[in-house]
Amino acid sequence: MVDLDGNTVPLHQGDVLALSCLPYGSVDDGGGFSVGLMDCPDGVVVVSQTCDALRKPTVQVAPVVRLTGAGLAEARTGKSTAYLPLWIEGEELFGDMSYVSTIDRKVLEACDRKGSGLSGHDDRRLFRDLVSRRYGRFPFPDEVVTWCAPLRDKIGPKAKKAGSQGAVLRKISAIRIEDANNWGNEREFDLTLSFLAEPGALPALGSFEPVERSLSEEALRAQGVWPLPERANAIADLLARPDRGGCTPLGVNALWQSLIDTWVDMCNEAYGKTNSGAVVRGSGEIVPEDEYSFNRMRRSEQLDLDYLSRGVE
Amino acid sequence: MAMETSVLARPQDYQCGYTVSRKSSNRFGSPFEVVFGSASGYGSVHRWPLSVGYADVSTYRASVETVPAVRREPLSDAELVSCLHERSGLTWEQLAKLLGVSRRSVHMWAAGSSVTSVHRAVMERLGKLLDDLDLPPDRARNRLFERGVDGTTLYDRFCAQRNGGRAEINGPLADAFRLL
Repeated sequence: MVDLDGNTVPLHQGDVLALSCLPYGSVDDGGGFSVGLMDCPDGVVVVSQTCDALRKPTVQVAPVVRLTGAGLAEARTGKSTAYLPLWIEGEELFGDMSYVSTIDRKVLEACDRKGSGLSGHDDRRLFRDLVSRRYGRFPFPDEVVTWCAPLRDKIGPKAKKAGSQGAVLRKISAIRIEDANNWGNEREFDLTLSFLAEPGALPALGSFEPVERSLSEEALRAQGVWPLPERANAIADLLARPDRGGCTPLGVNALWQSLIDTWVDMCNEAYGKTNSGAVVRGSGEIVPEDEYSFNRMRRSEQLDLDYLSRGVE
Repeated sequence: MAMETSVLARPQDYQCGYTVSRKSSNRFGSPFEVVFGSASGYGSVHRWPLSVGYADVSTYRASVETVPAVRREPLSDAELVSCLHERSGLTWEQLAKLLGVSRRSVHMWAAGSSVTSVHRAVMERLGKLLDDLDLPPDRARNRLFERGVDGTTLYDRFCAQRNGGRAEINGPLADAFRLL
């Protein structure tokens, strides 16, 4: 595509191009390798990073697909890493990362532009993060995935629902995970989960006092509730209240920590019932994201609950 | 007159992270309890009258034979972080940096909040370092900040190695720069 002055319009990550088909390698009827063409009625989207798309001889693109029903819902909530939201023509068009192809840049530059869903820095950043997520996820061992099941299936989904645990979860911006054995022992994992809270979620600490004295009677009762899921609800109810259950600032911090401990204990308890031959134990902490060091970021992995071992897509 | 005892232990006879208490008696036969290892217990050792000092190991062992009641159990997280604070002579801020966490975290731990296994391991490593130094708090702090011939301090080296010295495996940026 050229502009009014006849200059080639440069490609950018996220550009949607009117390319009608992409090459696709597959197995033919005789068991051999064949290359066919895949129809792309809605065009393709540039996946390559913009600097590469501007300069490199080849560019990676993904077909644009129109999703409906359950597939659309999954893609919108980020449960699948395969789809890149394009924010054009409503919210039904996605780049399908399952079929990324490499194309000569000149071919793509000649295509008409159907637009770009990336209108600002935030869009571009999210698009970039989703591309990274597709390729950069840490391959958690199966035992760890099993251990995380309560977080993925029972706790994580509450973030998208009403209720006190949902309200509290929405203040957590990320979960980072470390293994004391540095993922080097396949049968034993000593996990540390850091729940990063949005700035301001945890009140600043002033005076020094024992935790017990910082908690209201209500909070102390909530910490003793059994079983664990009910305890998590009881603690979250207090944290979601405007008065934070009548606790001091240190008490609110302690209550947050209790909630994290409860969630992690749910994982420890559930894993203990699996009769696995491996040993997985976890502990957790609540940390304001503005106090989580870059050093720790580099040592830890992002725990992506939306995707965690969803199996074959 | 300073109280004299028939039983005392040297700091190297126990490890930070453990509480050792036992019933014993002084030379006059009055029973007393010695608690080592906890924040207050360690302090009591250093506050012990200088005229007594630390008994040698043989004295310690002899007394164990006569007084078998020895309790040895891990310090709680709160006791351990307080013990490290007291023994190292560091401010809370300096201790937090040494452990690789925020001031808020050590504050919470000292107040009784739970500690993750990774941080517990780092604290125990620091406890071992302080055991090896075997110095009172003010001298321990000075030793931690004393520059060696290579220009680094023990404090800096502990920060660099606190997580087992393992490489920062998840640092693609750092890895990329190494390639340039």
